[in-house]
This record gives sequence, C-alpha cells and structure tokens, in this order.
Amino acid sequence: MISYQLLGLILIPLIGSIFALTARNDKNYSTSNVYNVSILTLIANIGLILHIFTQCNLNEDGMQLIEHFKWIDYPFVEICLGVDIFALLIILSVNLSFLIGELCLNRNTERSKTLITSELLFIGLLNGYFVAADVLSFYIFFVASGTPLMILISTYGSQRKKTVLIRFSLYNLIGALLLLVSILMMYDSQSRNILLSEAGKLNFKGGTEYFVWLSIFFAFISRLPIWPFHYWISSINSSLKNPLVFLVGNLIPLIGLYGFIRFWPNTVPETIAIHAPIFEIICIVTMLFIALVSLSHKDIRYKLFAYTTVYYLLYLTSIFLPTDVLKLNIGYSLFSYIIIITVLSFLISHIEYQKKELGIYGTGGILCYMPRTSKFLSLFILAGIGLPVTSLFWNNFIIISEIFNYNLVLGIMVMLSVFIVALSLLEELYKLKDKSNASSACVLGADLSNLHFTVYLGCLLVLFLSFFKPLWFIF
Amino acid sequence: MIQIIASLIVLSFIGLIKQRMKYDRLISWLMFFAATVLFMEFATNAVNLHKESFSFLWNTSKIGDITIDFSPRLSEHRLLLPLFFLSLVTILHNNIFRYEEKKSAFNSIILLNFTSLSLLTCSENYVQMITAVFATDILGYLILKDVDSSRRYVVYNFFADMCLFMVLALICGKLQSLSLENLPEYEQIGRHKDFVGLMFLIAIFVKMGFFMFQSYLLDLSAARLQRMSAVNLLFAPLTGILVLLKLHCLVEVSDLAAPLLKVISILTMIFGLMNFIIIDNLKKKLVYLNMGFLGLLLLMLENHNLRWNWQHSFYYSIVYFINLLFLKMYLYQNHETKVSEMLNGRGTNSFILKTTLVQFILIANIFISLIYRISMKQEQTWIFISGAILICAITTVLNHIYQSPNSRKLENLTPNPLRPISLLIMISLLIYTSVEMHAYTIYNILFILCFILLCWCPLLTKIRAIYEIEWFQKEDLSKSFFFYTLVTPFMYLSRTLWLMVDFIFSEKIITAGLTGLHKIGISIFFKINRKSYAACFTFIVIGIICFLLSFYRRVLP
Repeated sequence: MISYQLLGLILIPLIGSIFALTARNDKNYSTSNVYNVSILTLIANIGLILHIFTQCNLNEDGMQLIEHFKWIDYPFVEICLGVDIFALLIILSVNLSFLIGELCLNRNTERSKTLITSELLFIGLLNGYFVAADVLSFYIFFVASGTPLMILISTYGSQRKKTVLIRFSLYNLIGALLLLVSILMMYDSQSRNILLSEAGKLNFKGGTEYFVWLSIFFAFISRLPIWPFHYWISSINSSLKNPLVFLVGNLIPLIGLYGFIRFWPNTVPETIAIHAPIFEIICIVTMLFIALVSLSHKDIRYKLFAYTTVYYLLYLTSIFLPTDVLKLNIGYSLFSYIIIITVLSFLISHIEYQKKELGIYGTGGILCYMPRTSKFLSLFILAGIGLPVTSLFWNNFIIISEIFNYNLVLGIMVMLSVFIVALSLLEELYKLKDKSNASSACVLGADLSNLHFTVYLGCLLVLFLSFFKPLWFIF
Repeated sequence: MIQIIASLIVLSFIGLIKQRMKYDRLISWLMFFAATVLFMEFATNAVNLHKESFSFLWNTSKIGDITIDFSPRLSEHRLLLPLFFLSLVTILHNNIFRYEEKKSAFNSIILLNFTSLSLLTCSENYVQMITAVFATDILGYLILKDVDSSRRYVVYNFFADMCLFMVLALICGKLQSLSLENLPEYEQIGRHKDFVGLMFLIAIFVKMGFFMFQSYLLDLSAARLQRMSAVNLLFAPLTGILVLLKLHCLVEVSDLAAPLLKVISILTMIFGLMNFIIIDNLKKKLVYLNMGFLGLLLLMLENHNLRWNWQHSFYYSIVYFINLLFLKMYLYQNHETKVSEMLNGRGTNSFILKTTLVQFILIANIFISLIYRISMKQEQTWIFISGAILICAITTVLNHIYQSPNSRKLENLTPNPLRPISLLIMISLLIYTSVEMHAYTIYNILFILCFILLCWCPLLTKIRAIYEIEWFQKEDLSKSFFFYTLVTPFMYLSRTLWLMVDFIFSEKIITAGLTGLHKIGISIFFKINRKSYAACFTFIVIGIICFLLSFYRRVLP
C-alpha cells in the first residue's frame, strides 16, 4: 500500500496557500481568515510530522518511509520521497517556528494575503526539499524554494530592494544553473533519476568529477552567506522589518546547509573529500569576519544575522569533518537553534515596532519599561549563546569537541567566532536594558500581550524539554 | 540523597512563586526551617558516610552516555557540608535583616545555587559539570538583578565558561570519552598540553576574580552589599575553586601551569591586601579582602596537591563570616559605603557596633588558631605569616572605623526585634568554635590583646590619609589594561573590516562588479536578439562553437 504522508507534508501547506490566495480582498475579512487558515494548516502539518515520527525507527540511520511516484514515461522519471530522523527534526522545527511566527505576528501588517500565501508556499517547498530523496526532486525544490523570498522581498523590502533582488536572483540563478548541469550529467550517466544516497557511487572521472561536485557545492554555497558574497543576504536581513519575512530570509541558509548534509558525509567521493580543508577555511574566514563586523554594527538585526551565520557555519564546518557521527547532534542542535532565532527575531521586531509607535529615536533602555520582553529577550539570547536550557548546549559541546579532535586551530577559531558574536549580542542586550540610555519614561502598555507571553513561555518549555530529551514528543 | 536534592529543588520553586509581602516573610522563614531539616539529614548522612547516591541516564551520544550523578564521598562531603551551612546562614540573615523585598526569591536562588554546586562537585562527566558551572553563573546573574553590576559579570563569566568549554571539548575530543574518570589519561595521550593548561588556568583566574581579572567583581559594588557578598563567596569565585579541585590534573599536564598558578596566587594575595587598605569604598574593600583570602587559600591548596580537607572548609567558612561581619557593620552604619565617612559609634548604636567588634575579635582569634594549625601541619611558616598579615590588614580598617574623627551622631536604626537573634547565633557559634579549637591558650589571649591594641593604635589611624588620594580610589588597572590592549584593538579591527573590507571591497567592488557583469550579459542578450548582421554573425559563431564542442566531446576531460 502506497503511503502519501510525506507528500502530505508538501501538499498541506500548498493547499493552505491556495486557500489564502483565494481569500477576498476585503481587508478585515481576509486578514482574520487568512491567518486562521495558515495557523490551521501549520497545526495540521505539525500533527502529521508527529505522526510520521511515531512510524520511524529512531535507531535507524538511513532514509525511511520511502514513497515512489511515477512522473514521466519517456524519459522515465520517478520521484522519490523519504525521511530520516534528522530531516524530520528540521521539518518539525521549521513548521513550529512558522507557527510561533503566525501566533506572534502583528495582524495589522499590510498585504497580509501576499505574506501568508508566500509563507505557506515557502513551507511547502521547504518540506519538499527536506523530504526529497532523489536528485531531480531535490533540484526542483531547491530552486523553487527561493521564489517565495523573491516575492516577499519585492513586497516588503526597503528602498534598496531592487539591488538586493537583483543580487539574490543573480546568485540563485548561477547556483541553480550549476546544480541543473550537474544533475543532468548524473541523469545522463545512469539514464535514470538517481537517489541522493547513490550520488557518490557514480563513476565520474577526472575533470568531470570535479565539475559535477564543485557545481553542486557552489549551488549550495549560493544560499549561504559566504564571504565575500554574503552582502546580499546581510542586506536582506537588515532591510526586512517584517519578522515573518525576516524568518524566511534567515532560513534560506538552512537550504544550503541541508544540501551539504545530504551530499557530503558518506556520499562525496574520496577525491573530493580531501579538499574539505578549503571549505573549512572559507567557513572560518566568514565566521570570524562576520562576527568581528557585528561588533561595530549598530543594528541589532545585523547582530542577529551575524549570530545565525556563525552558527550555520559552525554546523557546516562540522559536516566537513571526516566523521559521520555528528549528524544527529547537528539535528538536535538545529532544532533548538531555529526556535531560538524565530523568537529572537519576533522579540526584536516587537521592540522596533514599539519604538516606531511611540516615536522614540533610539531603542536604548527601552527594555526597562517592558519587563516581559526584557526577561524573554535575556533568556533567549542567553539560551542562544550557550545557556544550558536547550539541546543546543550539549550538542554543540559534542560538535565542538569533534572539531577540536580534528584540528586545534579550527576549534579555536570556531570558539573565538562564537564568543565574539555572543559578546556582540550581549552588548546589544545591555544597551536595551540600560536605564541611562532610556529615551522616555512613559512607555506604558508597550510590553508583550498575554498571547505572545504564553507562546514564548511555550517555546521555552519546548526548548527545556529538548534539553533533557531531544525527542521528548515521541512516546 | 535524591530526596534531599529533589526537596531542595521543590523548595526553591515554591520560593519563586510571587507572594504578598506578609506571606513572603512567612514562606521565607518556612523555607529556612525546611532547609535546616534537610541540612541535618544531609549532615547525618555525611557523618555516618551513608553511601546513598543516584545516577540517571540523561542522554546518549556516540562518545559515551551523559548521566546526572550524585554520589558524594568523604572528599565531596568536606566541600558540600560547609557550603550547605553557609547557604543556610545566608538565608537566615536574609530573614533577619530584611534587606530583600522578595526574600523567598532570594532564598530560592541560594538553594538552587547550592544544588547546582552539589551537582558540580559530584559530576562524573563533562556535560554535567559544565552545565552546573553555567547554571551557577546564571543564578548569580539572577541574584544581582542590577544592570550595571551584572554587565561585566556576565561578560567575564561567559568568557571563562567559553575557555572551560573549549578545554573540556578539546579533552573530550582527544579522549573520545565524556567520563571525568579518564581525565588523568590526557597527560599521557593528549596533545597541546600547554594550551590546555593555560586556557584552563585563565578560566579559573577569571572566575575567581584573580589579579588582573578582578574588574567584574569590583563592578558588583553597584549592587546591594548582601547580594554582592553572596555572589562573591557562594557563586562564581567558588565555582572556580570547585572546578579547579575537580580538574586539578590539568594543572599537571603543562609545565607552565603550576608556576603560573603560584605566581598569580601570590600576586592576588598581595594586590588584594594592599587595595583592601588603600580603597575607601567598603564594597570594593571586601572584594580585595576576598582576593587576599582566596590567594592564600589557593597557595595552601597548591601546597596540599590541590586536595580539599576540613581545614580548608573551616578557612572558607571563616572568610564568609568575616564578610558577614563587614556587612553588619555597613548596615549598622546606616548603609554608609565610604570607610572615611563612617562614624565611630560612640553616640547612638554604640552597643551593636561594640558587639560587632567583639565578634571580629573572636573570629580573628579562631582564624589565627586555624592558620597556625595549617602551617604546623604543612610545615610552612609562610602560611601563618600571610594569615597574620591578613588579620593585621583587617585590624587597620577596623582602626579606621572605630577611631574615626567623625563625631556626628548616628541616626537610630529602624527597630528590628530579630536582630539580637543574629548576635546570639554568631556569638554562640564563635564561642563554640573557639572551645572546639582550643583557642583559649595564653598565646590566644596575647593575640586578642594585640588585636585590641592595634584597633586603637594612633599610628594606624594616620593611614586614613590614603583615602584622600583620588587616583587610588578611581583607577582600576585591570580595566584600563584590558581596555587598551584588547577592547580598543578589537573595535578598531572590527570597524576597519566593516568599512574597508565589508563595505568597499565586498559591496562596492565584488558584488557590484558581478551585478554589472550580469547587466552587461543581459544587454548583450538583448542586442543579439535584434535583427542585425552582427546578431546573426554572433549566433552563427555560437552555433559553430557548440558543434565543435559536441564533435570533439571525447577529447574533452
């Protein structure tokens, strides 16, 4: 009997997106309806993910629950979907983070129909990307997942959105073309669509092998903020004020990271794997560079971007290590990390929104009048930088210990970047808390609402439970 | 044991619930009594050496299981019993002196901190250990509340934690084991031993607020004295000692580590002593006094192969009580921070100020007896001399207070019927300890006489002039040192990278260059799509190139 559960993960958000798109253009009507549709869609998707978790064997490493779908007869193309625990964890965290986003989003946002439609489309495509088990579907979802962000940048971007959009499309176009060429070469060598796990077994020789693999990796790098080509993504993150769009922007590097996780450990041929130090050096230079630059930046969004980049690259560095034991640790860590950056981006947006509403010039000291926000921001920043209340903490310990085991200098550089970026966030937190910087003494009613407070408390609970047992939701 | 730890955690969480003021007082006292019962049970277990313990499987990883262990042996009881006792005393004084608005919350943090320290002391794997260290730091941050005092506290401790995290991650990676039992093997198989030894010591120095790393403890003076005092003796610096005792093997892995530890301990003691006399601010004075005491403690520990015994527990408890007496002095002087402004108490409040002096005399007597015993046992005279110098320094400050020229009458203290309880407990504890330690010999009586004489010595009174030298009072060498050697270069580097590399190189040259190329490509594409001879020619050339490439495909790599 064919199972359609993984297909359901892709289709539910897409159906939700169609519902949102067909809502009437009446502002009041569409706003509440569109939001409710998206929340229900996400709840349904999370329920399905949890159901899939119960059907998986937690001790098995490879792909599970594989679903085949015949697509074209000539040339014969069969699409294959499958998941492992790592992919499911990422899917769950992404869906959870968007649910948090939906619940905490200010419903007075302009063009909410476009926002929610694009968001659901993005979730559907991202789920598809995470469950793709063959190269063709992997490619399709890889390329398609960039589209919603383009729509969102063009709708919600700042004055520089044209430049940002050109750069984003340029890098993505180059990446997509490279991936397409390499995937066509893979197809050509076997005369069929191949599974991701089979990619390393293909018999390419010499320059062709280098071309195929380097094209794949450059495609993934195009989604990651790698120095000196990081400017487009930092511009996106700094210019997008809407927290949901900011979240979408922050999840774009996850696509590149996931690509490396799927292709590098155990899959990449030995001739390519020996060049891992080059990638490691690129990662370290970027981490250090962005961490150092964040020290001088005044914009808290840039600091958050620097934090996310450093951590994404920390995970990426651990993927290049000559060991495959870290995949699940990366998964557990990423689960907490994605939730933390979601909450942080929403809290920062809340502060900026209040600043705008109250007509305050600077945000310095604003947290003195927002005790709930202050507590949550402090807790989540501390959790993000290493407070032992999440699975991020002890899994990062194991990841970093492996990096140290491999190379001392690499380990020191990673720790230095993590420390600098944490310092930068802490500095900003204290600026927000410092009473001597406070601009106004009559900031009343600017704190978090009860709903937001409950949602963030729930997030804290989820993180805390994941600290004690990463897969606590499976009984 | 599990019941005790679980009860402590439950008790702490009860205390964290928001209460009305009158219920808060009641709950605060109930917490104290409940904690006392738990302490007695804990002490009974410790004295009878009941081997009750627990170990839970927390998580699994490829390099070993992560467990939560609590199986105290005698060596751990030597640490935990005094810590539990000191936590109880802190709670008692919080209840008596009413210096916190939310007493039960303060008590909760103290109890949680003790639980965290217990788990740190009994940890058998790296993850439990580092988790406990982080937890203690966070609890310290929660107790401080104040933004000014906690800013540097957070940064310094985070830096120390990161150093420790790095060292433990490195060891764990090399040994491929999470168990602390295998730590001694690192000396044989490990690499980068000097790096490990030095980073470990830096983490310890920062945590303990040693010489050149004391800035964050000095910043605590912005907080209330009772909070500062608790953090100073029960939180971060104590974590430093516990971690050092737990990982003492790491001092032996590098040839540089042991001498460095000795040198910095001596410098800390001397620097602390000097500044204790020089600085006018009582809160900062206490930080320097603790530096002096901790420096001596570390020297004694190093002399004892970094192994803790009952005498060290005694020593630490006495240091705590000396701090407590200074706290009382501060409260009885109506929260006056400057020693130069303090009044001699010959007008009002003279009784409580004189009883405080009696307590100082008794505690100094116990301290000198203890230090004499330690120096005899370890056959090191310098320990006794150092201890005596520390007591002399305390006498000098007491001289400055009790021989103060300020004759303005003190305001009457707010009535507090519970205050005599503190006095009674303290006096009875001190007398009991004096008897237990046989601190009533002729030498002790001579010492007490000397102490009293020094407290009245006019020569020492003249040192008060040093409080008027502004440079001494304002300058913090370590702060300036780090600012000019670390913070400023980092900020310059950061700004240069941002403006020169990020903005001009990345944005203006590379990214804009690529965008320009993209635009040129598109314009060429538009041009060759026009109906012109040049466009036709370009298409023909591209076609020929494609044909040639497909024809000679085999030749291509």
